[in-house]
Amino acid sequence: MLKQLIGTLALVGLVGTGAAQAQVQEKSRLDEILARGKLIVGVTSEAPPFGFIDDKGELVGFDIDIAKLLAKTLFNGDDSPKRIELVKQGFAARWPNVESGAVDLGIQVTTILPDRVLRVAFTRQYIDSGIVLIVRKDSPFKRLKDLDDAKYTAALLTNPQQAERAKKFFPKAKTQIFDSVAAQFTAVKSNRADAAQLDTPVARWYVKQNPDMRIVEEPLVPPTNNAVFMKMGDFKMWLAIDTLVGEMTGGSLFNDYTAIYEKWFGEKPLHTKYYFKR
Amino acid sequence: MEWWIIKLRLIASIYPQMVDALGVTVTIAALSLPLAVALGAVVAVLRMLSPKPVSAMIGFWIEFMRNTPLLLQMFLLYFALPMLGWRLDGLYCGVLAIALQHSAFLAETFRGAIETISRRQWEAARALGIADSTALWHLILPQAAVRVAAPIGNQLLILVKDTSVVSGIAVLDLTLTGKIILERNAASFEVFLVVASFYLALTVVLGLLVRWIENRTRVMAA
Repeated sequence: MLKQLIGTLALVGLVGTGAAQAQVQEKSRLDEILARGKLIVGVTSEAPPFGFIDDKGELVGFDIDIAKLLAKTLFNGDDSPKRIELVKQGFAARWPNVESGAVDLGIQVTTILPDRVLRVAFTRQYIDSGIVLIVRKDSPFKRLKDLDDAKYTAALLTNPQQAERAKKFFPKAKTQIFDSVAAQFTAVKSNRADAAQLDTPVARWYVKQNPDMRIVEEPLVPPTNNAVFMKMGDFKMWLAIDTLVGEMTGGSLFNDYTAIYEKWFGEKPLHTKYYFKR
Repeated sequence: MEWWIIKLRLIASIYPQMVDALGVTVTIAALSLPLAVALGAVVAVLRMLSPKPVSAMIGFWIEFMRNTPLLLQMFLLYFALPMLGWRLDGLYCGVLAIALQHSAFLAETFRGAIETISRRQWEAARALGIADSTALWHLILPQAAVRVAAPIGNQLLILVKDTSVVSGIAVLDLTLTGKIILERNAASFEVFLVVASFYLALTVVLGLLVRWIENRTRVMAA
């Protein structure tokens, strides 16, 4: 009995050391990043305000600023442009690019979804997302059900989720279907429609650009989380980045983070520790 | 074998929705087509018969309508007019935009055809004391009509395909309906083929009609 127990313990010890050795041998991507002196981040250039090309032809946005803050922190406050390389990638290319190592990590309006968790390593969330209604400021809508009347028109996108939500929350309202977010927004602004469903941060950005618009503060879906993502299996790298994201949204980097958030969304971060809100 | 059945079932399932959409596209084409031809003819004749300053203004109008994108003109009608308090239904915005732009192209086609008729015929008519407007109507236009039939047929086919721009202003035509179905079933290839086949059916019918009219005018002129 005792012999068996010792044997088992020895075996456990042996396996433990083996695993530890494997970890030491496998070089973390983090060491590579620090050695090369540059962080390579996959981003979008097609989704304002997260990543887009501005009037001057420069790649800017909330995700871009978060990437720059991450690089600056990794390299001890060095915010020179040579410390970061932004790789514009399509939404379909983001998974293969982190998998192959073409980029160190991705910051690309990417929502944590259960089926994605098995393919890629997410940090904790750096911003909330969700779906809200955008309406004209002078409109009477306070809650979703206020729109449920045949005299109102909701501007939808072509995707079926929007039609389902319209049927659920305001079945009596008329609907109009547009093929782009910009057209959907313009329809409400130009009084062609009375409300449009937009991603929460996108809606906040539009409202900041258009003071004659506002958001109906009753979300249509539970909040979702946008997160930084990277290749699975590199614990050292993941732990470092995840911890930094945590510091941004409610820790030592919170002031930098808040400044970025206010720059793009015109208000204080909504999804942080409650006592930070005031 | 299995593969075929799945595809056919998919196509059959989107068919009813596409037939509704076909109705919308046909409506837009049927309204904008005669409007464009009539407007084009009026503009062309006015330009020829008006005094210089008016004809120059008409020329400017034609250039503006020809040289700005149809989509943009339609967006102006759809999104900008309501801000001025004039709210036209999306379908009519589409009809108007398509008719206006194509009338400009057609006016130029008409003018070109009229100008190919020799100046001497005008001069001969004047020498006989026939008024310009009478000469135009009885002498020049019948000859021009024969020459103009083919290019107009061309223009009308383009018009029918141009009706797809209304998909940008929430009018449920063939194109927008195709896009909506696409978002639901992600079968891009099949849906685009079905949409294309509907347009093809439409333009083939129109093409036959144009050919028939072309032959008729030739017979009438002969």
